[in-house]
Amino acid sequence: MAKKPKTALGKLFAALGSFWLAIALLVNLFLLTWLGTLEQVDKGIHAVQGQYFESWLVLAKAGPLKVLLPGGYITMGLLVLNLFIGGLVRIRKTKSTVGIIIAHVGIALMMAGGLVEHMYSIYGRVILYEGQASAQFEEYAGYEVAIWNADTLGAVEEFLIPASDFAGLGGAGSRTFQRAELPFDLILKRYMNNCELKEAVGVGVPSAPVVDGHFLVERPDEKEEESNFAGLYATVVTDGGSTVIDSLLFGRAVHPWVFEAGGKKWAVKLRHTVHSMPFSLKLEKFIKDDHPGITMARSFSSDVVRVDADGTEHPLRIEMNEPLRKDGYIIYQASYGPQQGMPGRPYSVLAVSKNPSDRIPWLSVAVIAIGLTWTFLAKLLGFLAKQKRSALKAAQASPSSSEGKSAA
Amino acid sequence: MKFQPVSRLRSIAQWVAVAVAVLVSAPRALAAPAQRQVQKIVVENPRQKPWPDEAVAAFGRIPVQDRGRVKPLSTFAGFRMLNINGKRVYRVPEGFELPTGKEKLDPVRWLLDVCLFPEQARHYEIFVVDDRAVLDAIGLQMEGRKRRDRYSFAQLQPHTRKLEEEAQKAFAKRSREEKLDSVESQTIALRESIIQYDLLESMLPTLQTSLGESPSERLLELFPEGKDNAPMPLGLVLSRWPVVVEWMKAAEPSNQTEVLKEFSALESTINVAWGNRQYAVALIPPADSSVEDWRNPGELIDHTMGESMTIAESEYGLLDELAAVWMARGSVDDATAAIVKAQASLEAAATARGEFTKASLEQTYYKGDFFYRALLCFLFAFVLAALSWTTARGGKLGKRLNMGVWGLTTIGLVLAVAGVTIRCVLLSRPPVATLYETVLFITSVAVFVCLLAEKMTKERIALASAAALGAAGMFLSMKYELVEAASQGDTMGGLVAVLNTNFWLATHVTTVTMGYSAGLLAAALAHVWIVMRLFRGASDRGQPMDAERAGWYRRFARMIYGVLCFGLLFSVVGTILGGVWANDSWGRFWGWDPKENGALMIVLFELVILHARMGGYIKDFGVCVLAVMGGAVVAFSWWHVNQLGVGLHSYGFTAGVLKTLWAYYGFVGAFVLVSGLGYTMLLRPRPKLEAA
Repeated sequence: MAKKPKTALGKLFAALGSFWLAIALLVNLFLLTWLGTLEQVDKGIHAVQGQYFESWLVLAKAGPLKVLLPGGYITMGLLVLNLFIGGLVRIRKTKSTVGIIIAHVGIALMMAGGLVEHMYSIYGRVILYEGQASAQFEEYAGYEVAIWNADTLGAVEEFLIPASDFAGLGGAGSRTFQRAELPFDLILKRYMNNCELKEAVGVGVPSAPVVDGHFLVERPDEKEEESNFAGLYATVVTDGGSTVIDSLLFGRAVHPWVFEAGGKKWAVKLRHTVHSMPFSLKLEKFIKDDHPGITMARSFSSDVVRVDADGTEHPLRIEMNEPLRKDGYIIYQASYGPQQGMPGRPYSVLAVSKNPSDRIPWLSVAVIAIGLTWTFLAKLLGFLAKQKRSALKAAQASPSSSEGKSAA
Repeated sequence: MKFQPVSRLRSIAQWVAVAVAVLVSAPRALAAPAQRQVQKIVVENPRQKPWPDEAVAAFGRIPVQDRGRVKPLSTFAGFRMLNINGKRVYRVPEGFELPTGKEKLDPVRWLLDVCLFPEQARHYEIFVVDDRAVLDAIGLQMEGRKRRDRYSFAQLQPHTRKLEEEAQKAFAKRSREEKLDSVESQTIALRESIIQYDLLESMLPTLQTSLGESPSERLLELFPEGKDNAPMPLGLVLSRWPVVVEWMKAAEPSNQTEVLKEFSALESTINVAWGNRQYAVALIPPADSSVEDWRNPGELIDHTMGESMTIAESEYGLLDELAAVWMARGSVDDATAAIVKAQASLEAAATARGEFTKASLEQTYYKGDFFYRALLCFLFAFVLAALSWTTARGGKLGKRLNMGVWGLTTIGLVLAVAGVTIRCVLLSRPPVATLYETVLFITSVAVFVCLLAEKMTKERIALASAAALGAAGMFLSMKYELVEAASQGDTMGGLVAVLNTNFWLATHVTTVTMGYSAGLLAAALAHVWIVMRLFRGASDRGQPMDAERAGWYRRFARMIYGVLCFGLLFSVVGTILGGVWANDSWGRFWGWDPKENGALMIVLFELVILHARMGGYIKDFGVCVLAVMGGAVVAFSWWHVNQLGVGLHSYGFTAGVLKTLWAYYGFVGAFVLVSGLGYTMLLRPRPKLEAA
C-alpha cells in the first residue's frame, strides 16, 4: 500500500481504497446474494432483484429476523471505487502484484460492461407462428400506451406514451395527454402494475370505477415479472369538453379500445413496449427434437428467413445455444408452443436483446484468467522455492544429526 | 532430535486408527444378513440348474432403447434391480430348497428368472422398504422383520390394491402442493417398484398368443399354426393382420360385434402388450434407420392394427425370435439356445442402424465397477495412512506404509479417472452434465490436487486427505447413483436441450466444478489443520511452539491458502463463462438465478478470505476457519440451490438432499464454534502479568 495519507481528502481516498472496505463490501455482497437467493423462493427472482440488487438499502430476511443492509447500488458503487482506488491506483506496483492488477482490470472491465448493459440494453421477445413474420419485438415487462387512427389501412402512425409518464399514477393521481394531431385529450389514471379484470356482478361495491360492467382489481405483483398484467383507467375528452368517454385499459386485452373523435375512429391500447428491428424474421418451421423414445427435448430450433432492409432474404436456423447476431441485435430460441399435448398452431418464442456490451464478458474473462493464473503460478513457484530451500537446509543439517545419533 | 509434528500426536492417531478400523468394518458387520427364518417355497416348475454363462452373456447383450438411448439389457437390468432392491445383487437363500440351492444372482440372472421363471422369482425378497410403517399402512404384517427390510413380490402382491389406495392419497396430497412425509414418499416408491416389476415380468409373455378353444374356420385357415390352441408368436399374428382388417372392413355394421368376438381369444394377450405400450421397454429396432424411436411390442401392435405405420417383416421376425425365448421357458438349455439366437439377430439389426457400437465398452464399464473398487482403494489407503501416523516418520515401517498409501490412492484415482473417461466415451460428451457426474469429477480432481500437493509438501497430510476425500466422494457417488436409478432409471440418460453443448460443458461446467473441488479440498484440509493445531495447543499448555514446528504449521496453512487460490481462479473463470453461456442460451449475462448466485457466493467468499489475509486481518487460523465455512458455501452452491425450485437450473432437483445439507451446515457451524472456543482457550496470546 501507499504511504499513510495526512490530509482529510487523502484519508478519504485511502479509506475508499482500503482492504477493510473491500472485505466489508464483499461480505455485504455475499449476504445480499445469499439472503436474496433464499428469498427468491417466496418472492421470485424479479422482485428480489429489485429489492436486493437494484436498491440503496434493503431490509433483508434472515430467517425470522430482518436485517438492514446496504443495497446493490451502494455496494456496487463503493466496490467500483474501492477496486479503482485500492486495486488499481494505490496498490503497490511490483512484480508480485502484476497478476492482481491484471485481474482487477478484468473485473473493472466486466463491471463497466455491466453498467453499459444496465443503461443501454433492451430485452424482449417476438412470438411467431409458422408462416408469420415480424420486424418488431416487445419487452417482457415494460408497458406503453399506443394511440393510432383505426381507420388507417397498412402502416399506421402511432402516438406513444411511455410507462414513465403514467406508472406513477396510482390512487387518485391522473395526467392529461394532448397532441396537436389528436382531436381529443386523453386522461390516464389509477395505474396498477398487476391487476385482474372483473365483472361488476355480485361483487357488492366495486373497489374501482365500473366501465361497461367491468372493473380492474389491483393484485400483488407476481413472482415472475412477465406474469404481471398492468391496468389503467382512461378518459377521452373531445369536442371542447362536451363529450367525455371513460374506459379501462387492461394489459392482457387482445383488442384495443376504439372510439370516435373528430370524425375518425381512434384506437388506444395498453401493451408491452414495442421496439423495431432493422430486419424482419419470418418463421418457416419450429422444430422440437426429442431424445429417442422419450418426450424430453434434446434441441429446440426455429428455421427462419431474415429479410434485410434492402429486401434480401437469408434462410437460417436459430437454436438453443446458437443465437442469431445481426446489427447489434441478438435473437435466441427461448420457448415454443403449444406445450406438450396441447392443441393449436405451432409457434416459436424468440428472445431478442440489444446489448452493446454483449462481448465484454469474453474479454474480461480472458483478462481475469490471465491475472489470476499469473498470481497463482507466482505463489506456487514461490512456495516451491521455499520448500526447496527448507529441504536443502534440512539436508545440510541432517549429517550432523545422524553423526550425533551414531555417536550416541 | 529432529522435530516430527505428527509423532507427538501418536496417542490421538492411535485412537483415529482404531476408529477408522471400526468404521471400515462396521458397514460390513451391519450389512451382514440377519439370521431370519427362511421357509421352503413351493414352485411348480423351478429352474433346475444355474444359468450358463452363455445365456447370461447373450441375454445381457440384447440391445434395448431406454431413457433416450440404446444400451445393453444388462445395464437396463442393473438399474431396475438397483431401483427395486437398492443394490445390484440378490442371494437366493438355501432355505428356499430350490434345485439350484444357495445362489448369487446378478441383475441379468435375476431378470432371466423374472422373465422365464416368474413363479420362482416372485419369491425373491428384493423389494426394499426403508420404513415398515409403509407396510403397516397396507396391512402387511410379517414377524421378525427389521424396520428397513426386503420383501418378495409374492408377499406384497395380495396388498397391491391397498398400496394403490395409499399411493393415490399421497398423489392427491402432492397435487395440492402439500409436503409428503417419508412414509408417503416411500409408498409411492414401492408402488413404482411393483409397476416396474410387473412390466419386466410381462415383457416376454405378451409376445405369445393363441386362437382360443374354438376358433372360426377362416381364422384357423389364416393361422394354421394355432391349431388346438397352440401358442403362436405375436409377430406372426401381426404379419397376417391386414387380412383380419379386411374381414373387419367387409363385415356388416350389424355383424361387427360377432366379428370382434371371433378375435377375442387372439386379442386377450395382445391387449396386455398394447396396454403397456407407453411404459414397456423398446426392444425392436426399426428397419428404417431414419426412424429413431425403437418399438416395444405394444407399439408394434398399435401401428399394425391402427395401420398408422408400415412395419417391416424383419421387425415381426425379431419379435418372433424374442417370443421363441418365452416359448422355451421351463428348460434352461432350450431357453439359452433361443436367447443366443435372438440376441444375434437383435444386435445385427441394431448395428445395421449404426447403433449399439459401444455395447462392449458399456458392459466393461459396469462389470469393472470402477467407482466401488476405487472406494475400496481409498478406504484401505486411509486405514494405512492412519496406521502410518502411529509410526515414526523416518522409520522403515512408516515409509512402507506411506508407499502403500501412495500406491492405493493412485490406483483409486486411476480407477476413478478410468470410469469417468469411459463415461465420456460412451456419451460422447464431457463428464460433468449431471449431479452424479459432478460428484465423480469433483472427487477425482480433489484427489489429484491432493496428490500434487503431497508431492510438493511431503507432509503426509494431503496424502491422507486424498484417501479420505476419495472414499467420501466415491461413497457419495454410489448413494447418488441410487437416487438417479429411482428418478431417472439410468445415470447416462438424455440431457435437456440447453445442456446439449459439448463446448460449454467442457469449459464452464468443468472449470466451475474444479472450483468446487478446490473449495471442498481446502475445507477438508482446514478441518485437519484446526484439529491438529488445537491439540497441539492443548499439549503445549500455553508454551509457544518452537520455530520448526511453527514452520510446519505455516507451510500446511500455506498449502490450504494455495488450494483456495487455485479454487478462486477456477471459480471466477467458471462463473463468468457460465454468464457467457447464459448470454448465448437465454439472452442475458446475469439473471440472479440461484445457481448463478451460488457460484458468485463461492467467488465472493474466497475473495473475502484472500483480501482478509492480504490485509492482515486474519492469519493461518482465521484462513482455516473461513476455509471450513467455505465448504458449506460450496455445498450450498453445488446442491442446495437446486432444491429451491426457482430459476432455470431446476433440472438438478433431488429429493431428500436437504436433510443431509442441513446436517452438514450444522456440523460446520458447530465446528467453527468449537474452533473459536478452542482458539480463545488454547491459542490466543495472553498478556503476561507483570510482577507487582
